[in-house]
Amino acid sequence: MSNIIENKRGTDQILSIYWFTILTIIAGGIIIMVYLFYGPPIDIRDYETDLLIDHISNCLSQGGYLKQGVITPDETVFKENCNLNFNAEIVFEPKGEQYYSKISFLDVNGQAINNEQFPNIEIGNKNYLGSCELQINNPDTKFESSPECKEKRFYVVNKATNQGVIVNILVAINKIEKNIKD
Amino acid sequence: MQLKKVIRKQKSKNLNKNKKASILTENIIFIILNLIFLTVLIVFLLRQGSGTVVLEQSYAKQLALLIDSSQPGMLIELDMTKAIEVAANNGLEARDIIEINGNIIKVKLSTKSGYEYAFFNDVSVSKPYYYLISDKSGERLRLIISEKEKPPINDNGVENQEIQNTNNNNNNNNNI
Repeated sequence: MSNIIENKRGTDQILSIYWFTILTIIAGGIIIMVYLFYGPPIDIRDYETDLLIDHISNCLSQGGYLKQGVITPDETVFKENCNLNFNAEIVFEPKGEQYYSKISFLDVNGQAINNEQFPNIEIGNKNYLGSCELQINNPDTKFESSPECKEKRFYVVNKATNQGVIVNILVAINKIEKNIKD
Repeated sequence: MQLKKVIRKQKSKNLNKNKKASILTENIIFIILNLIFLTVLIVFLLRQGSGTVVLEQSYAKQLALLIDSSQPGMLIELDMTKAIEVAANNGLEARDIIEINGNIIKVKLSTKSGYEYAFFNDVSVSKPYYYLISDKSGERLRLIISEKEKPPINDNGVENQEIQNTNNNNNNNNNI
C-alpha cells in the first residue's frame, strides 16, 4: 500500500507533462487557425463588381429611360461620361488596368443589337474577357486566381423611339494580389 | 523486528502528511500555469484581431467601397475610433491616417506600414479628409464627395481650356 502511495507522485508528474503537451497542441492549433483567418487578404471583389454594374447602369439609364448622349464606342469618352477611373496601384502584375466591362444591347426578343445607335462598348483590360466567358459558361467550376466576373442585364425604354432595349453589362475585376494572395 | 515495524509505520505517516501539502501546492501551481496559458492565448487572439495590418486593410477597403458606392453631393461618415487609437499608440496623428491620391486611398496606422486600394468612381473627395468629429459615439471621419472639375465645354464642343491656350499662344506670337 505504501509503495502505491509513493508511486502516485510519479504518475501525477507524468500526467501534468501530458496535460501541458495537450495544451501546447491546442495552442498551436489555435495559432494556426488565427493565421489562416487573418493571413489572407479580405476579398471584396464580389461587392466591387456589384458596385461597378450599379454605377454603369445608373450612368446609362434614369427612371427607366435610356440617357441620351452617354452611349459611345469610344472608351475614353465613355469613361468620362460615366465618371470611371480604372487606374490601379502599381503592385499588380501584369501591370495595367485591373477592371474590364463590356456593355452590349439586345432587343426584346433577346437578339443582339450592334449598330451606330447601340454599339458594343468595351472598357478596361480586354484580356479578362476570355476568363469571364469561361467562368460564365462553367458556373459550377471554381476558378481560383482568376478575375472576379459578373454579368447582369436590365430593361430600359429608348425615349426617342419609345421601344424597349435590354442592356447587358459584363464586369471583371482582377486585383488578385490585394484580394487573394498576400 | 518490532522496532523496524514501528519505524516503517512512522515513515508512512510522515509521507502521508507531506503528501497532503504537496497535493495542494502542485494543484495551485497547475491552476496558475493554466490561467497564464489561457491569458496569453486570449491576449494573442485580441491582438491579432486589432492588429495594425488587419485594420489598415479593412479601413482602406471599407473606404474604397464607400467611395465607389457614393454619388456627388453625398457625405460619408466612418467610425475611426479604433484606427485613431492604434495610430496614436504608434506615434501617428489622426490627420496622417488617410491619404488620397487620384483614385487611390492609403490608410496608414504606423510610420512603417500603410495599405493602398484603388476605387473606380471618378469623383472628387473633399479635403481635408482627416476632418474628424468626436462625440459620445466615438471619433468619426467625414468625407464629402463632389463631382470632379472638368474643363467647361463651349457651344461648339471645344473645351474652353483649349481656347484659352490657343488665345495665349496667339497673344505670345503677337507680342513677339
